Amino acid sequence: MPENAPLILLAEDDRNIRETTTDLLSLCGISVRSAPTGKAARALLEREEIDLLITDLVMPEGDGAWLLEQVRSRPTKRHLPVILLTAHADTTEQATAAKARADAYLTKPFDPDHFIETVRHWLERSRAAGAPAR
Amino acid sequence: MAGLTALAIGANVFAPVLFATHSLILGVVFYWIALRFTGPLPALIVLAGAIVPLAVKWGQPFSPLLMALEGLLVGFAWRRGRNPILADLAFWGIIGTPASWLIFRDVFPIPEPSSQQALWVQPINGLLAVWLAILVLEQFPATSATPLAGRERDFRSVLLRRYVAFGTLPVVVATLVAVRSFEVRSIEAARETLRIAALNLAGAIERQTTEARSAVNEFAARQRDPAWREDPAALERALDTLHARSGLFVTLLAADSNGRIIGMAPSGPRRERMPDLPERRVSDREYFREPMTSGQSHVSGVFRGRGFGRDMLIAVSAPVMNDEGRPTGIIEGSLLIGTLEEVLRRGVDGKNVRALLSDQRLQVIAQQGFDEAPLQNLKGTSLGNAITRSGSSPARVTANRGGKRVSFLSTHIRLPGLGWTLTLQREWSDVLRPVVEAYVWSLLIAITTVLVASLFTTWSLRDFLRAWRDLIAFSRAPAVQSDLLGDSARLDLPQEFSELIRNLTLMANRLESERRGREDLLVRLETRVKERTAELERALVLARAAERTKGVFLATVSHELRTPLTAILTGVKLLRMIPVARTESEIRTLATLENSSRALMSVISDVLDYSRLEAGAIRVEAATFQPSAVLTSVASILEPEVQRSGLALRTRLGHPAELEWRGDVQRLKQVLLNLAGNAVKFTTTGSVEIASWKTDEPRRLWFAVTDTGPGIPPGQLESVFEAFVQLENNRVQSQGGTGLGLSISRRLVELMGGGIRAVDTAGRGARFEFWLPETPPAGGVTPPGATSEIPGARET
Repeated sequence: MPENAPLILLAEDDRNIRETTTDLLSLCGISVRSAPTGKAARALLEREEIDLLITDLVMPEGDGAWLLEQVRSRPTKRHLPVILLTAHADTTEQATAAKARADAYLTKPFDPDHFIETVRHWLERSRAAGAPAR
Repeated sequence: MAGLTALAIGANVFAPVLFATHSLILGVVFYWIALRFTGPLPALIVLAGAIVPLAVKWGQPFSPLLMALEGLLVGFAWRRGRNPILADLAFWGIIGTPASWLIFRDVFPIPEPSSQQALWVQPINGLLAVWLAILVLEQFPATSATPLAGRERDFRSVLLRRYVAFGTLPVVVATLVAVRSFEVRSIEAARETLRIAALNLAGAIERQTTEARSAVNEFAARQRDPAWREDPAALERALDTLHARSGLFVTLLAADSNGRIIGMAPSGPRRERMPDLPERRVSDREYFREPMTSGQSHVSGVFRGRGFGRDMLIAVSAPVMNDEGRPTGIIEGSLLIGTLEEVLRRGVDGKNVRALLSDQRLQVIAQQGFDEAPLQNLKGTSLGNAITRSGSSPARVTANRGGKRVSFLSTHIRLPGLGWTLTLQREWSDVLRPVVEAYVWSLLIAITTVLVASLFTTWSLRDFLRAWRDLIAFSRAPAVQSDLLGDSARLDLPQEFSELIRNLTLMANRLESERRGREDLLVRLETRVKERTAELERALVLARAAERTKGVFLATVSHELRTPLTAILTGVKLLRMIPVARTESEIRTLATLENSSRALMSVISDVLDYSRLEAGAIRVEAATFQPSAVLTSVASILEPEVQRSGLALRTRLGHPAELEWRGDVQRLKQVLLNLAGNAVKFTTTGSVEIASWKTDEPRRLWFAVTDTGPGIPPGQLESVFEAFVQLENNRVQSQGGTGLGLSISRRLVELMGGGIRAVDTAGRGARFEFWLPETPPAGGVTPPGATSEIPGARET
């Protein structure tokens, strides 16, 4: 992986999705850190310079909505682009609000091509907005 | 209140007794009463009713009418107090008083309105009027007969009224009959009395004149012609003697055949007062002419003397006959009518009788008690006509006296010898006085009898009424079952009530047990209701739990289905992206994996969507978007498949590209993709067109997807939207699918507030149209911040 490859944080509790997605993104030249829970993801967020956050909505120990709120409440992380993965069965207020605060959301199961396109799009925007490259 | 009522009505009826007429005081009393209970206007009418007669001196028939009016007002006043009997009385007075006057004025003795007796009779007549009205009105049903007293009949008042009306009937009739016959007899007796008195008086008058006539006749007969004329002094002396002895005459004179006065008595001082006497002629006098003509003695009518006093005189004259029997002169004596007046005065006893003496020429000679004066000519007057016309039978007339019209019993007696008429009149009220007294006393006694009898009856009824009231009180009290019979035993009720009591008691018992039964029933019902409510509450809890479970199930199933699929798809993608040489079969296998996963994903999405739509778990969002962008996006998504099918895909905008709309972009896209996807799937050659346009009135956004495929049979334009329906067509079948797409599309469109339909194109392919409303339905939630379309977001 090149040194200035963008870094994505993936918060997802399903191992299969984690692994396949990580591999897919890696093939596209994107570094991925993954965490199985919201809390772990937040810890990672503190430690690493993340360019993009992809998070599942439903997770144990801090779900996507919570994580999203954590991100948005940090002044430094406020502008972090967030892509939400949702199973779309959630029509609760919380899910809707979370979708609103995210920059994009994808419904599972998502088209991988579309997924990659969305990721690339938001990484571009993040870079263009002046996020420091690694 | 009742006391005031009685006082006022009593005053109204009896006041003429107490005061001269309906007086000011009475008027004031009624004014106050009317003012208190009705209003200022009726009160003023009452006051006027009292004052005006006083001022105008109206007699009959106005006073009954005014009494009636006052009765009316009193009745209105007491209607307020709801005193039925007295209100009735007042009302009856309205009808009865004028009626009694109209009907009975010739039957019952009604004296002159101005007379003292009237004051006694009027109230009696008033009471009679009331009685008459009761009698009449009792024939009609009670409520309609007494419109003033709008109240229920109570037994007591009915009884009293009936008793008053019918109980008094025989008494009153008997009294009236008796009084009437007494009246008739009294009048008859009075007439007879008057006739006899007149005859007596006439006789007295005749006697008075007869004396004078005899004296003059004798004297005249004693004279010898011509001797009597030759010695005037002796003649005069003889006249003086006669004058002095008889004392009847004022003057005596002798006149010759030429009418010259030969001699006169009294001589002496009188002569000086008649200086022209010897030249005096009496040839013009009636008392000269008559005897000279007829040779008979004569009594003249009244004339005024020519003497000093100009007295009113009557002359008695006789002719002096010569031997041949021819009159050669007259002897005349003048009588003052005062002597006759004296006779009349003596003959007329009391001031209720008056007498009048008139001569042949209807000149008044003397009178006592009449307005007419001596020498007044009655020709043409009603009295004169009456004298001329009527016989000696006494009859009732109305004449003037002192300016008032008064009724008299009148008779005229001819004095044949004198040619005069004596008129004797007795005041009618005097005639009737005994009758009136009898009338008043009889009726008072009758009424007293009735009152006493009614009191007695009421007293006799008292026991009954008391028992009745006790019975009513008994029926009112709540019946305690065990005490009912005991209570009834305590009531001292007459035997007629015992059956009633028994029945009441049984009824009360029955009602009591029914009531208990109903109470028990109510309690049981309440218990049942409580139980049922508890059951329902439990069922509700279970249903809600089931609802939640379903929701949880859907969410869980959805999640559990989607998660592995995501991994599968991603994995397949991953494999294809790994830059490694693969064999043909590997490449095919990967393609199969990918296609199958996508197909599986599509089916799962449909099923999940359908079940969520069924459960009502899908909410529609509202955001602003550009329809043109949606069309472009849908077209681009379908592009690969369109290319593969060799079809042409067109989009057509019927509105400006910048047009913005509010709605759920995701769902709109889902519907469009479903429709267009179907179109591409089912069309082998030709084109697919997606169009959108806008309408106003109502403002709607329309979409249409048209293809050149096999189309939809006209009979199935509606049924295609039903779940699990697929057109029966081999080629279609081979396309697969669950048959849920159109059903989901319809649901989604309807959730967004619009409508969808399939249009018949007469075999030129399928056409689906749907529209979205201007305002998304309430319940859609607008996510804040999501104003721009998320690029490429889609469901597959």
